[in-house]
Amino acid sequence: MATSKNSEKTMPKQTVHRALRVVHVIQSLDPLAIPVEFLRALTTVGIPYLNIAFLGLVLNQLQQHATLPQMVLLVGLFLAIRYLLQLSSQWFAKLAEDHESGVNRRLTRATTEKLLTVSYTTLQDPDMRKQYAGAQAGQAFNGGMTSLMKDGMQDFFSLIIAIGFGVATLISLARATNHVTIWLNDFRYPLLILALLIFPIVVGSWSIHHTNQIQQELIRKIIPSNRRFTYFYHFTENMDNHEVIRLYQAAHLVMNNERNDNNEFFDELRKGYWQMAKFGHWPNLAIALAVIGLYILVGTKALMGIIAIGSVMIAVGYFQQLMTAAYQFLQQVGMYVNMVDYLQFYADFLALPDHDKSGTLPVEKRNDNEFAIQFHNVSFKYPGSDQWALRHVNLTLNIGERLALVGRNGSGKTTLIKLLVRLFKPTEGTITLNDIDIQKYDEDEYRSLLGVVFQDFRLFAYSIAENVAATTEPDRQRVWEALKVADVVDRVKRMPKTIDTPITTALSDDGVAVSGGEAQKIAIARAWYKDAPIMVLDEPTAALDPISEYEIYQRFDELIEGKTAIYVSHRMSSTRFSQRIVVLDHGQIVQDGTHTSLMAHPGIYRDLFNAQAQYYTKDRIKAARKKVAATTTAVAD
Amino acid sequence: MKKYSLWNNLRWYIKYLRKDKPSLAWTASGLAIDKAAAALLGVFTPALLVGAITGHATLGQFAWLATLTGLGLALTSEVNYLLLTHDSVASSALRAAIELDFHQKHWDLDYDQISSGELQGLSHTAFKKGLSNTYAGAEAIYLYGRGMLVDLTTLIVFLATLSFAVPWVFALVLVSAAISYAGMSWYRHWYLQNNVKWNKLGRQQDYITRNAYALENGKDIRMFGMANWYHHHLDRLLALQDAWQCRNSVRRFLGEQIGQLAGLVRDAIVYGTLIVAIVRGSLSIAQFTLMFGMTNSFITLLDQLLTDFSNLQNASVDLQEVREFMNLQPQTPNRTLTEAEQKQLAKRPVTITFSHVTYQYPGAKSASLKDVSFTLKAGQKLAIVGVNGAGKSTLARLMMGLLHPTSGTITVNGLNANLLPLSERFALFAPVFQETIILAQSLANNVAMTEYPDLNRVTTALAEAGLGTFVKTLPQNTATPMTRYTRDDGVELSGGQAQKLMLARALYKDAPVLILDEPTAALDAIAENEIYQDYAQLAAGKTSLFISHRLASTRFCDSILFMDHGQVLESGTHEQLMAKDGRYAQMYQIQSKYYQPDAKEAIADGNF
Repeated sequence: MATSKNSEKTMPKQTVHRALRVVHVIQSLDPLAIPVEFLRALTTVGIPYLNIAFLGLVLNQLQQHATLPQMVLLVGLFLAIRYLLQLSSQWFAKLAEDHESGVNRRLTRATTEKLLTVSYTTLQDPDMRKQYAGAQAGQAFNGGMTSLMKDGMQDFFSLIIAIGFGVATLISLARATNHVTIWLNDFRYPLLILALLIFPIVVGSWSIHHTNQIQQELIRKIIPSNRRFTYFYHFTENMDNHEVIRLYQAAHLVMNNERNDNNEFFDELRKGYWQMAKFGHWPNLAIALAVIGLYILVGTKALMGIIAIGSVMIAVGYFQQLMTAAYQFLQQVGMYVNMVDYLQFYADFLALPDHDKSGTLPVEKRNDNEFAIQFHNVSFKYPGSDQWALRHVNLTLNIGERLALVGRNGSGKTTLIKLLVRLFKPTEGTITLNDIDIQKYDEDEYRSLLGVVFQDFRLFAYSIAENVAATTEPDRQRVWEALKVADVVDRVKRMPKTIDTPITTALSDDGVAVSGGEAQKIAIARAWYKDAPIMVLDEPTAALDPISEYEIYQRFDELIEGKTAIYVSHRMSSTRFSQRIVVLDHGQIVQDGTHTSLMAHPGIYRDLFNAQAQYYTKDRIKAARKKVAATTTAVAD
Repeated sequence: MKKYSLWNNLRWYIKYLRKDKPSLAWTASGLAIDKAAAALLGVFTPALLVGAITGHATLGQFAWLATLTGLGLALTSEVNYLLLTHDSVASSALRAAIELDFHQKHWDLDYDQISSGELQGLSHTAFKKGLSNTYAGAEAIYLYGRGMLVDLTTLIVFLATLSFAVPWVFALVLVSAAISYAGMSWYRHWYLQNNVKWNKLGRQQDYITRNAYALENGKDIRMFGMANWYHHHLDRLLALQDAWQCRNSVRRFLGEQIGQLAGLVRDAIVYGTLIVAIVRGSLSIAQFTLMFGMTNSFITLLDQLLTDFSNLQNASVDLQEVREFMNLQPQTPNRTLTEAEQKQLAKRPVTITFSHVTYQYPGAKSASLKDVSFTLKAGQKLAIVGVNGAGKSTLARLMMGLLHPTSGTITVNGLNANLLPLSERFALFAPVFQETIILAQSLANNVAMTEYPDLNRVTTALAEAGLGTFVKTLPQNTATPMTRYTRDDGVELSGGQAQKLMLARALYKDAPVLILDEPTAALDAIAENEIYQDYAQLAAGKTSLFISHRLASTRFCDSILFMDHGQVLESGTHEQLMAKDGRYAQMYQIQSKYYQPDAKEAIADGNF
C-alpha cells in the first residue's frame, strides 16, 4: 500500500495520481488550507526578485545620471512595495501555520477515530499496524503533511516563478543586440545561456538519482535500529524492569547491548552519509561554474555597451535564482515523492469501512431477555497462524444459564469468548443468535447485548463516572448503583471528587491511582452499567485477593440478575457458582457437566480442581508441614 | 528547581563534546571561517564586476575576475558541504552518547529515587525536551551554538574590514535589530507563560491516539462503544487547540511587525543616505554596489544571529530537566566493607531482622508499612499473606534494599542494612515476581543476566526449571533470541514458560535468600502446582520469603505472617493461626470453602 520498492521507476502519472489523493485528503480535512498555502508561497517567493530588481534599476538609473528626486521616488516605491509584500507574506504565513497545524490535528483526529471504529481484525492486522507505524515514523522523520504543504508547495511555486523570471530575462537579453554580426547577437547567444542553465540541472539530477538510491538503502538499514531505540527507551522507562535489573545486577548487560546497537547505527549512518556526499557535492560546484559562465556571457554584452550594468546584476541574479530553485526542487522532489508515498497510508486508512458492515439486521428487542446463542461446529485459526485455536466446537448457551468455561492456559477459552463477542469471525462453522448467524446482525446492535469483563480489561484516565458509563454523559445514579454492585463504592466515596475523580494522574493532576483490584471492580461496574442481557466474564477476579473475590461472588446474583452468563476462570472455586461447566482442552470441548458429575470421573476438570484444592485439604496440609519448627516470631501489635 | 544558565549548559555540553566528539569543535570553527569567507566573496564579487565594467576592463580581465571569484565561491560551498556532512552525523552521535549516559543514570540511581512519580515525570520530560530528536536540547545546543559562532565570526570580519566606511550604518542596523528582538521577546514572554496549558492539551490528544492504537484497548473500546466517548473528548480538544493556535500566531505576527517597522525606517535611512552620497558624487557605482550588498548581508546576518541566539536560549531551557536528572546521585553509600563485616555477611544461611520498620512512599498521605518487626531466621521459609494493598510487596522491596525504611532498622546477619553497599545487598537475593521480564537478548543472557553466561549452568538451570525439553526445540538452543521487540526471529514465550524462565534465572543466580512475590497469579491450577513443586526444590537449604494472597503457598512454609493495612497482625504456624481463629483463619475459611466436598450443596440450591 504505502511502500514503493521502485520509486525510481514510478510512472509520473501514478505519482501525480498519488499526489492528488493526498491533496484530496488535505482538502477534505480543511478546504482552505491549500489556497492559503498558495498565497503564502506567492508572497514569500516574490521578495528576493524585488531586491535584485531594485539594485539593478538603481544601477541603471545611476549610470544614466538620474536626478535626486527620481532616485528618491525609486527608493520610496521599492520600500513601499517590499513592505506591503512582507506584511502580506507574514500574514499569510500566520494563516498558513494555523491551517497546517489544523490539518495535522484533524488528520490525527480522523485516524484516531478510524482506529476506534475499524473492526478488531483490522486493528490487530500486523500489516495495518506496520504501515501505521511506518506512516507515523515517516511523519516524525520528515514532518509529514505539514512539511509537504509548507516546503513542497513553496519549492514548487518558487520553481514556477523562477522559470517565469528566467525566461523573461533570457528573452530581453537575446533582444538586446547591436549591429555587429558576431555570435553575441544571434541565436547562439541564448542557446549558450540555456546550456549553462541546464548544465547544473543535469548534474543535479544525476547526483540526486544516486543519493536517493543510497538514502533508500540507508533507511532500509536504519528501520530496525529505530525499533531498537524505541525498545531501549521503553525498557528504561518501565518500572517493573527496574526491580529485576537492579536485583540481578544486569544494568551492565542492558547498557552494553544498547551501546553496541547505538554504535552500529551511527557507523551505518556515517557510511551512508559519506557515500551520499560522494555524489551530493557536485551540483553546488556545477552551479558555481555556471554562474561564472553567465557573468562572462552577460558581462560581455555590458562591456560592449549593449546592456546596462544593472541589467547584468538582474540577469545573473535571476538566473542564479532559477538554478537554485531548480536544484532545490530536484533535491527535494525525491523526498516529496516518498512523502506522498507514505501519506497514501492515510488516504487508504481513512477510506476503510467503519466496521464490519457484513451485517445489517437489527437485534430483536425483547423484554424477556430470551436470547439463545449456539456454536455450530465452530473452528478458528488466528490470522497468520496455522494452528487451530478452536476445533469443531458445538455449544448451546441456554437462556438464563450460568456456564463456566474451564481449561488450562492456552486451551481456547478466551478465543471462544472473542468469537462470541464478534471480535473475530469463525474460520469454519457459524455462531447463531436466535437461529440467525451473528455476523448478519448490525455489529453495534449485536454488541449491545453483551456485557463483558475481559481478562485484560482497560480503564482510561478520565473520571470514574465516565469510565463506568463509557460516555461523557453518565447517568450518575446508575453509576453509583454499579459501583455498589461491584463492591467499590466505599473506596470511591473516599476519593476527593468521588465519581468525578479522574483515574491516574496521566491527564489530570488531581487524578487518583487505583490498585489492580479496584480497577477490576470498576471494570465489573462498567459491565453492569451497560445492562446487557448476556454477561461475559473472562477471569473477572484474577487481580482480586480472596476476600474481595469472595465478596464479588457474594454479589453475583445482583451482578447477573438472572441473565445468561458465561464465566472463565482459573480459580476453580468459582466454577461452583455455575450451573454448567464446559471444559476445553487444545481448542476442543472435552467435558460438559456439573461440578458433581465432572468430579465423579477422571479428567482435566478433576485434575485442575484437585491441583488447587489439595492445599485446602486438611490432611494434605498436615503432610506438607511435617517439619514445622518455628513458633511465633517477634511481631508488632 | 535549580536553574542552569545558558553559560553553564554550554560548558556542560562542551565537556561532553571534548570527551566524545572533539572533532565537532574543529568542524564548527571551520564552518565559521568558511562562512565568513563566503560572505565576503558574495559581497565583493558583484562590486568588483561592476567596477570592472564601469572601469572599461578588457573582456579577458573581466573573464579572469569572474572565474577567480566564482571559483572562490565554489570552494567555500564545497568546504561547507563536506563539513556539514561530518557534523550532521557527529552531532546526533553526541546526543546519543548523552542519552546513553542518561539511561545509565536510570540504572545507577536507587530504586526509591527512580520509582518516585516525581522522578519518572522528570525523566520523561527530560527525554522529550532534551533528547528525543535532532532539535531537542542536547543537539539543538550544538546546532544553534555553531550557528552563533558562524554568524559572529562573519559579523566581526565585516566590521573589521568595513566599519571604516560608514560606521553609523552598522549602528543603525544594530538598533533596528534590538527593536526587532524586543518585539519578539514580548511574544516569547507571553508564549512561555501560556504554553504550559497548550502542552497539556497535546498530552491529552496523544493519550487518546496512543490508546486508540493500543491493541490491548481494542476489545473494551469496541464492546462498550467507546468511540463515541472518545469522539466527545477529541472534539473538545480540537476546538481548544484551534483557538490556542490562532491566538498564538496572531501574537507572533504582531511581535514580528514591530521589527518590520523598525526595518522599514532603517532601510529608508540607509538607502536614502547612499543615494544622496552617490548623486553628490562622493560614492562610486562600484562602492555603492558594495555598500548595498554589505548592509543587506549585515541585516540578514544580524537577524540570523538573533534567531540563533533565541533558539540557543530555548535549547538551554530544554536542557534543564536533563541537567537536573543527570545531577542526581544515588543516596546509598558506596563504601567497601571491612573484612569482619564481609565475614559476617558471608554467613549462610542468612538471617534478616526488621525492627520497628515504617515506610511511607514519597508524597503518600499515610505509611504503607507501620512499625513492622520480625525476624526471617536463617534457613527459614516464611510466608507473608494478606489482601491486596496490605503492604506485602513493600515489605519485600525493603528487605531486598530496593526501598529504604522511613524509620526503624533492617539488619542482615546483624549488620545494619542501610550501611551495606547496594551491590552487596542485591547479591543476596534471588527474586521471582508475577511480572515476567524478558530481555530482547539471547535465552542464555536472560537466564544469566550477564553477557558472559556459564552455558553449563544455564542449561542446568533451565532443565531444573522445567524448560529442558523446550530449549531443545529452539533453533539455536540457549543462543536463541528472545522476544520480537527488536528481532523478527525472536521467540515469544507463553505465560507458563516465561514464569519458568524467571525461575531458571533465580536458580542460576543461586543467591542465599529466595523471594517469590506472587509468581503464580496468572497461571492455571496445574501450572501453579508445578511451580510450587519447583519452589520446594529451589528453597531447600535457603532462607526464603513467599508472598501471596493465595493461602495455598503457606503449605511449604515454616511460619506465616499475616498482614493488613501495613501491619503484621498475626504470626505463627498455620495450626497456631487457625487455632487463634483470627483474621488468617477467616481468610483461609473463605478460600477453602469452595474446595471442600460439603460445599456442593451451594450448587444444588441454585442460589449461586
